[in-house]
Formats: sequence, structure tokens, C-alpha cells
Amino acid sequence: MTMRTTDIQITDALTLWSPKGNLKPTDAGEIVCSFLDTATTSMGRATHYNTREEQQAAELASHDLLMEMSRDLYAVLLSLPGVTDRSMQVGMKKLLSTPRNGAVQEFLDPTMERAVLYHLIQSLPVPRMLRLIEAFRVGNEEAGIKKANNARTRKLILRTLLDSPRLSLWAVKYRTKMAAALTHAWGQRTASIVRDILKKDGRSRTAKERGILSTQIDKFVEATKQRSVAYECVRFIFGDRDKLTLPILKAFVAAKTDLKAGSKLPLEVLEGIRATYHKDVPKEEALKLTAKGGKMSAGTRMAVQKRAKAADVEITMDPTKYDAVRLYLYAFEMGLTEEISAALKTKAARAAAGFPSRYESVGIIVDCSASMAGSKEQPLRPLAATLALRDMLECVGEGKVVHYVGGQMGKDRDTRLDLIKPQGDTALADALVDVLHYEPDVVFVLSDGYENTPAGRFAEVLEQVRDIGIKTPVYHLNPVFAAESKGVRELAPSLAPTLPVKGPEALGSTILRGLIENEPLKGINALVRMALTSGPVEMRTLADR
Amino acid sequence: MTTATLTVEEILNGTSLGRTQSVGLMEVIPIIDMGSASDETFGPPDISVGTSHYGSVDVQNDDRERPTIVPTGAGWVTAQAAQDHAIPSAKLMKAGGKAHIDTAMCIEETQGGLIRGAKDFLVLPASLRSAALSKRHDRGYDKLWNAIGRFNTEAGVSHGRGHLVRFLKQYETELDQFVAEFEMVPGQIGAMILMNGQVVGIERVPNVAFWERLWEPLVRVCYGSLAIKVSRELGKMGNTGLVPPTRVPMNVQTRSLEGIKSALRDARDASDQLVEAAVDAVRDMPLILAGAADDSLGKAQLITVANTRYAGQMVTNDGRTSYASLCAAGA
Repeated sequence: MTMRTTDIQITDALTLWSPKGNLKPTDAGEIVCSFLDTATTSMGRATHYNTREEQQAAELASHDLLMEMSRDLYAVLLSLPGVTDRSMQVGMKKLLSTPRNGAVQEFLDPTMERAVLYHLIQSLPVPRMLRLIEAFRVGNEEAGIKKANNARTRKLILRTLLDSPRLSLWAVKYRTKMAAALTHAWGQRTASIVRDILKKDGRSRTAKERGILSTQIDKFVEATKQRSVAYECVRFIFGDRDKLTLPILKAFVAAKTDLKAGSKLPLEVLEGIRATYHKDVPKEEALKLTAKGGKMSAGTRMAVQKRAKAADVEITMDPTKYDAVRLYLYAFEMGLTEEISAALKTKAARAAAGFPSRYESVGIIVDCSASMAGSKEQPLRPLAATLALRDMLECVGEGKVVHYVGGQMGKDRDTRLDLIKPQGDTALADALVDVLHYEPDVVFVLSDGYENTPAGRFAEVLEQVRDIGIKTPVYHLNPVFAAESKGVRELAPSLAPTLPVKGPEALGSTILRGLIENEPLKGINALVRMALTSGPVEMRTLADR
Repeated sequence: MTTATLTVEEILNGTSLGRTQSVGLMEVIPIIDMGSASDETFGPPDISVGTSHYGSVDVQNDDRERPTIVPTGAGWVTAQAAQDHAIPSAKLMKAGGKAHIDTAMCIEETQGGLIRGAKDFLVLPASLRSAALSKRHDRGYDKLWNAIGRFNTEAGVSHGRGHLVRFLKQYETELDQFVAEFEMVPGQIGAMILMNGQVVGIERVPNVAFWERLWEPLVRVCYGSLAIKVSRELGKMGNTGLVPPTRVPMNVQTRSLEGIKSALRDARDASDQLVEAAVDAVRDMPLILAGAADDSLGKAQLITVANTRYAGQMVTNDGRTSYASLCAAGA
């Protein structure tokens, strides 16, 4: 059994962070691990086993602990690949609702923290970004969530919205939420003043009024050309439809009288116009019009496939634009096509290229038992994540042995490609012995950690395996955050490290989590370096130190 | 079916027993339809409930296509400012039908208020089921309070009185855990539940969809509460690392993977034999019919059965068992 390459290369020179005061490295390691468990798996939603409230309370606790230990570490680790949108939202709100001034500066300066915040908000899908901005206004003291209404927050909102090259698209697609976000950032009075000034023709604005626009809009817009776009979009967002020049805004107005004029609008917008102004036009007309040239996000393209199929409208969808977990979820609903299967293979190979190790032979145990079906809120997500991880892990070894536990292997009706469905009980112990017979270099167990034939037998078997001298590393990769264990459910706590992982892209940080358990300081600093290289450019200079 | 020959074996007719799932002291053996055991006459218990007086519940079958069975010992614990209620007996419901059950019980002693509509139900703790069943013909909203008070005291719930909700709150995490641990298997229409190696429950329902709806309320409160009680009792006697006697540890004779595999197989076989013996001990046990049918709907009849060890109810439909819910009487 040979591990060919490549343990993670850790440079001792890069010790950007070390614990302060009486804090022991092992305690720091535990806090970071708990945060990673949450940050890479928690969606703040119910799971098969825990309610939403339980999940959220456990999630906030792990954020609080890391933030208390080190604000800088907390900010940087939010930039790690694989951190969930939900965790980014929680993190941003925490950072913005507490002043940086009181915190001990360790390795980030205020400019860098600001850069992290811009990086995070821009990483979010637009609806989530706007929901976050809405959430800045609202606190929940009982749940430990504070409001974030300070100057830093307002600047972040205005720069993010007004300087975006997609501002005109957002203006038509999210008019109400954009108006609320801008009003929140400016305040009711200033928003009203800005709106009144923008109604006026440019040449008739007074110097004072130009000064107000300069302070409230120009300051947040980098390119001079974008300023006139921002003026017109803000005007539009606040309800002024006169003398529009931007094509998408004009199309919005024109579509109210002629639906065809809105063919370049986003589907959701055109559907809204049809429902209000063209009630006699069939519902699917908007879909047909936008299919040809409308602005449809990748997410919408995927979401409307079922409808499009029923309406006999072709909406092209490029499977390479979605992450592997999402593609599996789509395949469960719509079927697994050759195209999706090929995209999954490409993505698996690409994700494997970033994995820190290569093996001659990999053993993979895939838990497909009933509980992998997930909750009503996130149906089939655990299994989708598991299958995406399986694909990737199959690529990190030259040889592989894959063993399935439970599940119903079935062929797709049309393409006859294999797609497994969750089913049955969880008997992982037999699978472990069977896989070890092939003498792999490493065994990965992909499971939610709930074993019942009987519970604890996996650990019992692994103990016997160690006892007879087989030292093959066994990793338990768990895609389900479990509130009752304040992290992820473990199968064999002292024998096989349990690593939380949401999908293939997060596996790098997950593997480093394993390192933290053995060498906390080295592991934490390796994690920091990974975050620095995947975070905003302003932070990358730190990685070169 | 005649009462004189009724046995557990007859309840299991047309089914096979699946692989035992075992976590802590609880073991669950799935009862699986072998092909003709399901009765698709009944839909799952998709029911809405409200109360207009203490001690009665108004039940509605929300399935307009098929009749259903409101399970024995169903209860509604709501977050509303309302007195929680439960029913001691099952109820046969027409498709889309409504029923007023005036033999219901309050299970939250000092809480006032009426339930304004509830969907989610629990099944009463196994330890309360026979006490409730014995009073199925009695009216009186307070008829279960003493039993709940004793149950709470035994469970270490302070100031529990007749408030079942206080037990549910104190043991919320543990109860959730039971739901997490046990998984449904294909074709499952019931389960035999063992606690510390003894059969404490036999549950069979008309079909897979019915089981999918009923399993969580059953495992969480009905049998989960019993696992908590038994663990406490054994814990007081100084037992630690609680596993049932039916769980046989591995004994590796040959230090190799083959040896481990063989030990794994042997341990499972030995456990299976012990579980099988526990099941065989109750298979032929006669069940005595307790009086006339409690309810009927078309060819379906609800009957109450008991013997020295179990008490519960069954629904037969055209002579075949469609539903059975039997709990250890002294649980």
C-alpha cells in the first residue's frame, strides 16, 4: 500500500496566527473545527433529524466561539472554498454588527477586512445578497443576531449595488428589494431627496444638488461612465419611468403595452408583466418569448426545464455551469442525460485536481440508506453531495473499489444511465471489511453517520482491523450537519476522523480539518493560507509573506 | 377470524420479518409485505383535529378518496394556548368524513383553551397505552392524569402532574434521536419493537404509505419514551454501556480480514437467533377479544385485544388483518 504523493505541504514560515493569552492550541483547534463543520455544511435549515431552530442555534454558537477567539481568523476563514452561502451571510452580519475598533488586530488591517466583506457579498447569488441586506435591518436578540445599520454597512451596500455592471438588470428584476436596500442605506429622507434630484434634468440641477449626488452616488461608482447608468437605474427603481435610455429599462415599459417588446427581459419579469397587463395571453408565451433572447440566469434555465418540456419550448441549459451537487439534484428530478453525466465527470476530474493527495488505489463506501434522502426542505441533498464526492474521489486514485450500502440502483428511463436512490438500513461494517480486502491505500466512507445494524458495529470492526495491524487510513466524510452532535455525527470517533463536507469543492478545507486535529497550529495556518489564496486579491499579499 | 384462535402469528400473516435494526436498548424488526399483505382500502392518517369541549375531539379525514384509521392512542400536543388531547381508542373514518369523539382525554392538566386545528399527532407513550385503553368507553377529560403523573415521576420529570408535554420537553433531544436512528425499508408495513431483548410492541398498518406517516409518531414518543424509561431503570441498577442481551459482541478467532468477516457473520447470526427466539416466544400467544367491536366501517371492524402481556387494538377488513397496534401491558 503506497501513498504516492502528496501530503499537504505546510510551510512553517507562514505562521500568521497563533493563540493569545491562555488559550491552548488544542482548544483553538477544536473551535476552528467546530466552525468548519458548520461553515461547510450548515444551510440553517431542518435536516432529516433536526428542526430549523435547533440547526440555527448550533450554527450561531460555533460562529460566536470563533469570533470571540479571533476576529481576523473568523473573517479570513469565511473566504474558504466550500463555505455555504448561509454561513457567509451569518458571518457578514456578525462582522458588520460589531465594531472592528475594539478587536485585537492580529494579521488583518481594516482595509483587508473591508475587502473580505466585499468579496463575500459579491460571492452571494443576488436574491441572497438582497435578503442579507434586508436582514441587516432586522435583529433577533433571542437568537443572538444583532442589527447592522452602521456607516460601514451602508457603504458596503451602496458600493455593491451602484457599482455593479449588472445594475440595470437588477433594477428591473428586483425593483422592490433594490428600492428597500437603497432606502435602508441612505435613510428615508436622503432617499427621498436623491429621488427628487434625479427626476430633474441634469442641466437644471443646482450645485448643491450635484454635490448631494456626488456624495450619495458618484462616491460609490468607480467608472465615470457607470454614473449615468446608476442615476437612471436609481430613478427607475424609485418609480420614475420618463425619458429612459437604457434598453432593458425601455423594454420593461414597452412590454406593458406590447408583450413582444419585452423579449429581452428576464423571464420572471416578463411573466409578471403578462400576468398584470396581458391576462388574455397564455402563461407559456412569456417562456417562448424569453427562450429566444431573454436574459435568463443559469439558475432559472435549470428551474424552468420541467415547464419548458411541458410547453414544448426549448430552453438551452449548459450543465457545465452548475456545481455537481446541483446537477445530481436536477438529475434526480429530470433524469440523467449523457450531457449531464459528461459534465459530472469533467467536474469530478477538475475537483480532484485540487485534492491534496493522489493514491494508487482508493476504497469508497457510499451510504445510500433511507436517511440519505434528507429532509422535506432539502430532499435528496445528502445523497446528491455523496454522489458528487464519490465521483471526485474515484479520480484521486489510479484504481478504485466502490461499495454501496443500501440504496436502489436504477437505470434512467430514457438514457439507461445508473442513478441510485436512497433506501433501506445502514450496514457499514460489512462494507468496510469487503473494501479492505482489495488493499486500498485509503478508505473514504461517505455517510450521514447514522448506523443501525447494529449501531457501533463499524467502530467495533475498525478496532479489530487496527488490532490485526491494518493501518489503512479511514476517513468518514459527512455531508449532513447534525445539531444534536454540534457538528457532524461520527461513526468511529477515535479511529476514523469524521470530516464534514458539503460537496467536492469543500474537500480541500475538510482534509485540512483532519490536520488540525493532529497539529492544531500548523493546520489552522494552512487553512488560513488556503483562505488567503481563494479570498479577495487584497489578502493575497499576506500569503506571500 | 374468530377470537379464540387469534394470535400474533395471525397478525403477521402474509408478511416477513426484515433485518433487525439495533441502537441502544431498542431493536426494531421491520414487518415487510410479501406481496399480498397490503390493504390499499385505507389511506394514511391525514387527519385534522380540533376541540370544542374538554374531553372530546373533532376529527376529520382530509383524504377525500379513501377511508383511514386514526391510530390507537393518537394525541395532539400543540403550541397553541390550548389543552392538549389524546384518544384512547382508534377510530375508523370514512373518506373525507368527520367524527366527534367524546371519550378523549386531556393530557395537559392545568392548561386551558381549545385546539383550533392541528395536524401533527403523536402516539401516547407505551407506558400509558393500556391505562388509556382500559378507559376507552369512559367519558371524563381527567381520566389519564393520574397515570401521566406516575409516568412523569418515574421518568424524573419534576412537577409533571398530568402534563405529558413536560416529559416531551425534558427529553426532546433523546426523542428526536430515536427518529434519527431507525430507518424504513422497502415494502415495510409494520414493525416488532424489542426493548432490552423483549418484544414490547407489535405494529402493523394497512400499507406502506400508512407506515410512512405513522412510524415517526410511534418511534419518537410511544417507544422512544419506553427506551428512556428502561435505560433509567437499568442505569439505577448500575448498568452502564447499555446494550440488549440480544446483541452479541464480535469474537475474532483468526487475526485476519477473513477472521473479522467470519466474526461479524457469527455475531449477527447469534443475535438473529436470540431475536428470533424472543419473537417466537410471542408468536403463538393467544390474544383475547375484549368485548364487542369498538367501531365498524363497511367490512372493517375495530376490535380490542389483550392477554397477560399485551393490550391493543386491531382492524380487520373482510376478515384480514389491516391494522394492529399492541403494546406490552406492563411497559
